Amino acid sequence: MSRRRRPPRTPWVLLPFAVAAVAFIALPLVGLLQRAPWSDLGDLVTEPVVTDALRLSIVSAFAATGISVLVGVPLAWVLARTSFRGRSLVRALVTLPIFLPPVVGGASLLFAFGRRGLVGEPVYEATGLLLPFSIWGVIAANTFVAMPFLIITVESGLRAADDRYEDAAATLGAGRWTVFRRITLPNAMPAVLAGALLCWARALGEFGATVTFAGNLQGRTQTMPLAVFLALESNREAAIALSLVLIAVSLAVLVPLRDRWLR
Amino acid sequence: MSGLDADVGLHLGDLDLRVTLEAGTGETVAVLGPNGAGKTTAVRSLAGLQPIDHGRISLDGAVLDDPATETFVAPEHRPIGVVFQDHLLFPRMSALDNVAFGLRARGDDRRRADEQARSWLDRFGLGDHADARPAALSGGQSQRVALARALATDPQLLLLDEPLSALDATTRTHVRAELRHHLSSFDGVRVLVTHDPIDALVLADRLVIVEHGRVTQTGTPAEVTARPATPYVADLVGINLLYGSLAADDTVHLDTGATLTVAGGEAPTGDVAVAIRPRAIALYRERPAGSPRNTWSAPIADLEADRDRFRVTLGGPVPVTAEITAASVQGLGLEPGQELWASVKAVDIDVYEA
Amino acid sequence: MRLLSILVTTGVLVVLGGCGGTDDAADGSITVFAAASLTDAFDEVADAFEAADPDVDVSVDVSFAGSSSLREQVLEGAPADVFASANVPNMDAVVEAGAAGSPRVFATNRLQIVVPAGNPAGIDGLDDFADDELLVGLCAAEVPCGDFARQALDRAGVRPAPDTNEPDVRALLTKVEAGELDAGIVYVTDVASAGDRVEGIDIPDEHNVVATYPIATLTGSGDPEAAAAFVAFVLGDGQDVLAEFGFGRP
Repeated sequence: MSRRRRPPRTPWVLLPFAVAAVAFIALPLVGLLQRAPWSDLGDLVTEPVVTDALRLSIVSAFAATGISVLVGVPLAWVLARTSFRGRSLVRALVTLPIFLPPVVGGASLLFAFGRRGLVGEPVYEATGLLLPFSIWGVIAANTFVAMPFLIITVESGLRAADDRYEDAAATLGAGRWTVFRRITLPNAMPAVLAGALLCWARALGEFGATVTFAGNLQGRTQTMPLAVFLALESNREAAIALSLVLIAVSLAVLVPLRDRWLR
Repeated sequence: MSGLDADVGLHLGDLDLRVTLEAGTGETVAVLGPNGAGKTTAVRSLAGLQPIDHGRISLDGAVLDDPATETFVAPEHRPIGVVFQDHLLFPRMSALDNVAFGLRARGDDRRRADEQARSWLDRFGLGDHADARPAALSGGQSQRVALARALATDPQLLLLDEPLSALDATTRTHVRAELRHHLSSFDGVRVLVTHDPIDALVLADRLVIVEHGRVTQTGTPAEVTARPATPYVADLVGINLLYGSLAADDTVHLDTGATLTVAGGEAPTGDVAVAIRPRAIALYRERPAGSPRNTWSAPIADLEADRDRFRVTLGGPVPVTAEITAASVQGLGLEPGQELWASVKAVDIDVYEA
Repeated sequence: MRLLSILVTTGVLVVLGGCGGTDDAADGSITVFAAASLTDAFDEVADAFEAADPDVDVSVDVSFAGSSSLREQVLEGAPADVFASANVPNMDAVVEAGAAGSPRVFATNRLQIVVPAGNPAGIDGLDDFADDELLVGLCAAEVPCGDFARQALDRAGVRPAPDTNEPDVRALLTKVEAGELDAGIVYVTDVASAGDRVEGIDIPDEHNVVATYPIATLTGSGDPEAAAAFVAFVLGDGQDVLAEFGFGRP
């Protein structure tokens, strides 16, 4: 015997807007699918330009996300749980890359870490290590633009969390590191995962900062977005194939997560 | 110098707290007071979750907080166990892991900690629930796990912040009795915070009443019940309390203007508090014959049914609450605003120094 | 309720504002799509054109990008009036699609090696582009500059090992200027425009490539008269301006 479910109390006036939003996002995807060279897809997708770009994109997106989690979660904790003079300034600073045009971000990275950069020059003179024109440059550019998303997501998650459990843990004898490791972090896990996902997605789609800072070379720094941009001008079909691959990869990550990342 | 010796002074928002708390080893002290009085803040300061501004807290001779010498021992280094109002069991850990948490945090390896935790849970009758998550436990079970968790680290001071308030009435009675048993077998100092007088009366060896950030009375439950020092306490124990001045001729001139005749007692002349049990007040429709000394006319301010009895609050110069049987009510045909006659015998009036 | 009416009004205004954008009246504005290597040069040409005839009130908006990128935009129906390409194939594609009128060559350009001021890496010729130890850059093969550079290197028998293929010639120039690259291959006009910040190293004539720049009005233009007038100016008085920047005569 099925129970009748209460009908949702949706204000119907919102529906057209919701439909418009979905359509706005769905239609370009439909356009892409419609122009896809389905018969040649197999050959196109296995071309080195595609496989190289895909490999670079995935590796750098994961690396950027890994670095962002390692560095960003502690920073988010400091911003959420401590108070010090200049905290608002620090928070504004780490959020800046979100508002900076990516090309400007890339140029700034050059000024700091390029071969003639503030930090880059002495490091290069001393060790010969250089970020631009290598995959490390791609990872750096991706991290620069994507980490802020993780930081603000985790910070807001920590703020919303109940810190009374941390008090309880302290009274039981847990030092600050133990509290962080066994109480704070597990409780913040949903926020960390959501932040990591946003970060990964942003890194995967990153173009402006990457091309400006790391350059563009197939197999070394040419990520998917760069490959698509150049392919659009010379080999339209390859560009569409690349885009479809990118979409497929993103869906492969997003769909299994379903609602879990929102909890 | 064993036991707790705390002189707590702090300012938190609107609260200005200055209380002194002492408790010996093996003693249960209940801090009782209305909401906002500062009792939870006082207990948090004992736990180290709220540093004090002035005063000193020491436990078994060791100083835990002394602003004057800039000494402050963090909660994780205090030999305490705390049972929180909402229990605060770690939601993603099993009951066993919760109880073992303090042991593992202090360095015990997993096996030892788990063994000890299991024996604690068995002692509380929760052996079968060791692997259950807090969400799957009932209120009473969760409270026992919280207590076991606090006791597992063998603390010298056990703090309980409203330990029973999260439970429903029936569970509360049952758990209260259990708690009494567990507390008596714990050999450290116990400080309990509650707003429920029954908790205090059942569980405590000594009461400390805190109102508006100050201690207004201390004593054993019997002492406090017999001689409430403030209207709050009197109300708590269900007694009418009035203030006035005792004259040599055994009359008390109340602050409200009326005069009562009392029986001779030990209280010296001067400022006194006068206590009258509600059941000692008799009510009549008309002036009673053979007038006992204390008789007055008063309007009914409020009328409240309480199981098989009625509580009648009177206005006028002697503002008291009388408690009479339902049968008497029928005879009197009571309505708010109605004028009645009340009387109380001199011997039923307790007088003591204010 | 107030917020809702504000939102609706804004929406209506945005939509209305968007419309009418492509209406170029007789004296309105025209949009010129120009190859990246024409940056600065075409800005001056446009200024000169606007100032030339006080009776005609036309304002010129120039949009610079890689020629292949501009070609794509035109083919997708971007509302431009004139297209100035850095090579012939891109213009041919547009003409074949029926989007442009008959093109005329208005300038030529040659390639030059560009190095940062002071030539810190001691570059002396095209063979340095095969050196793995150096950081060198080229334009992406898809853009004319990149295509010509590869032709020149091929003629010189050099197999290049670039560290980056920049999407447009100006991006490459900027990196060399900043010292992030030891050398790049750009047009002589780009080297000239960067003044003291860079140095140019000539490429021998037998290896060098002459770039031919065609210009045409676009069939989708909203103001064919103004478009034609601009093209005529570029082929006429505009030639002196282009020469100042280092472009060769057609």
